[in-house]
Amino acid sequence: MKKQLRTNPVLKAVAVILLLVLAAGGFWASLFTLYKWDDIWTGAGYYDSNNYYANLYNRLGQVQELARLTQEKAWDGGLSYLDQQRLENLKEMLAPEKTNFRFQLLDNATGELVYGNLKGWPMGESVYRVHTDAMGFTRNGGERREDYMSWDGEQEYYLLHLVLPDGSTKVCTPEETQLAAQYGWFFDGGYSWEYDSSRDSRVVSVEFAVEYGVTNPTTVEDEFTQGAQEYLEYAQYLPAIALLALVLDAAAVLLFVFLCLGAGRRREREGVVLNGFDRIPLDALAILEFFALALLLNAGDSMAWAFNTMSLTPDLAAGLSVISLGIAGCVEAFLLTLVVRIKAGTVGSNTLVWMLCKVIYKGCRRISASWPLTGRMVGWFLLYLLGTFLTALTVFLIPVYQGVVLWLLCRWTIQWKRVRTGTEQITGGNPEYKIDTEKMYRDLKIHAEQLNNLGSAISTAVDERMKSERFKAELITNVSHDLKTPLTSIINYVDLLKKEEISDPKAAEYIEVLDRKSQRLKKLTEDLVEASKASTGSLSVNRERLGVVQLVQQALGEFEEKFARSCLTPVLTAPAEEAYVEADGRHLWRIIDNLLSNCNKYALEGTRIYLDVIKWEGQVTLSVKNISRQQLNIPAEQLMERFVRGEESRSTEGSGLGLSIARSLAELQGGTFRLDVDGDLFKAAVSFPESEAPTQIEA
Amino acid sequence: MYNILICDDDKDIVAALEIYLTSEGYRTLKAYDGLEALRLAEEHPVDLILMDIMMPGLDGIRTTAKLRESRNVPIILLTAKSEDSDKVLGLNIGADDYVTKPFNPIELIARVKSQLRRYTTLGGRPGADSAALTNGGIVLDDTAKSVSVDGEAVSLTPLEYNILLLLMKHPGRVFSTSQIYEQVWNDPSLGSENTVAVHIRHLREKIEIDPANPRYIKVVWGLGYKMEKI
Repeated sequence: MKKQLRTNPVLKAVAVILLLVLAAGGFWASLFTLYKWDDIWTGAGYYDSNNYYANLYNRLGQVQELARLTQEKAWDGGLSYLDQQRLENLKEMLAPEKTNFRFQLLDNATGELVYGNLKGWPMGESVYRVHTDAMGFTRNGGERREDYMSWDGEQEYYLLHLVLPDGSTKVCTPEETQLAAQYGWFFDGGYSWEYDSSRDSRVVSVEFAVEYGVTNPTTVEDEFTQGAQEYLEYAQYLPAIALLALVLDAAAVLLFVFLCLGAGRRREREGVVLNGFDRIPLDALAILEFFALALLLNAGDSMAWAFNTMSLTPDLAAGLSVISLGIAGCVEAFLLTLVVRIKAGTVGSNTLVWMLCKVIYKGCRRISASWPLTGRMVGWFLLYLLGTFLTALTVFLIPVYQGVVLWLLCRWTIQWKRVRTGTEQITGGNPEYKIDTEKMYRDLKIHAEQLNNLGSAISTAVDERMKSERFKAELITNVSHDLKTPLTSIINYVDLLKKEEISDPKAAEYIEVLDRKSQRLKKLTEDLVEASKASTGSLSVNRERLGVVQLVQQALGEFEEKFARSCLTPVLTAPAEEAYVEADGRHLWRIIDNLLSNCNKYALEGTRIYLDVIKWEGQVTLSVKNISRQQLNIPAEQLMERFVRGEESRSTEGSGLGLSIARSLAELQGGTFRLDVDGDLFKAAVSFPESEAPTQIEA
Repeated sequence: MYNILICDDDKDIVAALEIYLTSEGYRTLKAYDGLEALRLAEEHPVDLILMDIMMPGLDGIRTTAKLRESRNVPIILLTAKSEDSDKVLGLNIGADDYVTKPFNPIELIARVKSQLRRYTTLGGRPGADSAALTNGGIVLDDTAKSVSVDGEAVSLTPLEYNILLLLMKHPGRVFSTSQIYEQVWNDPSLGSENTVAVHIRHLREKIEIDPANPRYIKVVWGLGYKMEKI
């Protein structure tokens, strides 16, 4: 609702026009109030007002002129025609029939009345308040300038040349000062003369005392009656005008606030909308406004002068109104566009100065981009030197300039550090890390962006790799499933064949081979699935604390008959106390199952299999050692590869996946798996971090 | 004479299973997809169903679920999937047992027999003999010192019997080898736990259909053994 109001275009237009009128009106009302305020509200009445005093001093000026002309007439015995006219004019102006101003000129020395317009009334009774003043007139005061001094080289003093009233010149030496003293000159006792005009017989001066005032009540029509009348009028209307000024000003401020809130906002549009005016560069606009205001004020000045000196005519009122509105319009438009710019954040950027700087900056960048890096570095250094030189001239700018340079260097260092951190992250196994390149220096930015691209490339490659691994595992699983169905038929029908009565011993032998191979195929597919799952980590691991010795004993129990059949003797060496590890029992069993199956398959008959459980430095290690039946000519590392077996011919059963599965499973559970081949001695070791014994064996 | 419904989309497997089952004296019904199996089960009296999981149309899991809505006939799932989650899903949906492909025909026949015995002769729940301990198909009568699995008597050595008795008395509880040794042999165990493992292995061979994947006496690797509560 509020936004609706603020963005209503009609309301906004009305507000703009109203603001103009209010501002202009408020200005004049305020000006009038302030102008008259002192006069009316601090004075006790008209006889204390500015207007009264202004008129009074105006009249005093006339009195002074009158006194001067009178005295000159007395001195010279007559006046020039113009002066005589003037005197009579003044006398008429100051006549009691023409003015309420009353005065009397007295000789200040004797108190004798020289001139006045009191018509015989005593001063104190005639006027509201008696003002006094003194004025002096001097004759021939400037004539001593015709006297002059000349240097007497022999006597080493100045000779005084007096110009006498008859025009002749008399030379005076310090020896005869009597004449000189008459004309106000005194020898200073050294070599020069001093002048005192008051003791110069040629200078004549007279001083008048003036008493003056204004009658109360006024008797004739003059400026005082008019002033008093106006004063009363203003005193009557001023409170209303002051109130009006206050209301107009307040309304103007409120309207301005309203316009500021709505400035730049449009209905149905988000954010700040700039119109054409708001797009004019601010400094250009300011200059335009300055000229417009100067023009308006210049025009207004003459009108205001006319207003001050004459009364307000309709023409003048219209002119002043237009000019006031024009000024208010200029100011309003400027303030509102400023508000919009501040809201849109374009105060600084939308200026000609800024644009110029930008153009220069971009030009420099483009030019320097083609320079080699070292060239740019040299350029910067030369710029720095120039700056140092320039600031050195103005001493106080040195710390500021060097501080700015230091700040720029620090910024560079911080950004460089950011690049380094990013590189560490990317090389440290976090290729998805992105360096924040915002506001970086150009060269660093290019570098950082390349690093970011490198990181993306690596992470894409890793993802691809993971995907392909997963895909492989899935493929193996699916293929195994598909293999199993025909394999079921093969096994079943071979089994059925075995049950048939076959007389041919050869056929029976062939069936036996088929049976063996189909069983191997079965084992192979099962191992294949398991190996692919273990190596891609898609098996779930349920870790719990379990005893390795217990597990080995259980496993040996399972293998008892198999070992007995192969004439193998297991020898278990275990610590007296159970060794506990955190592992998934089924996976750990699978590892040991594979190791013991290997022993059963490949160990030399009649030998012993050594199983050792060792607790060492926080690790529990189970090692299985046996003597191989056949020569092991394959490195231990290769034995753990998929499909590698300890003999080349692949004649015996086994998929060749057992060790690979064992290693994958051990690593999946956070353990390690090692193989060692020493001659015919085959040694496998699984290690897990030892965990604490449970406080209570779970029953 | 029991009627066994065989359902698999691979006709050769169905044919082979038919040969095995008829040679054991069972009558067979053949279906090659889930819908056909449902229809046959509806039309004929069926005592046991062998059901493949991966079949076109209605798969084994959904067919089983459908059958279980109205019937409690034993169902053994045949599956090429060996993941544990598939087995758990199959058993949860209402299957009584499962066999992973490629299966051993002898084992399959044993499972069929076991399920049929439980379904027909035992009627699901044995008599409330106070002296007899039962768990699933195992019945241990301590007064007669006799043990039977799915109604078939099993002969055990005294040590095996005592181990089974201990485990049957506390189904679900895990006994470590030393605990079993101390309680059965009545001697402190001094590193002779191998014996326990061997005896349990023998015990499993006598009780379980597939000793490598035991149903009753489970190996809790690294902790001990327990009797699974069924």
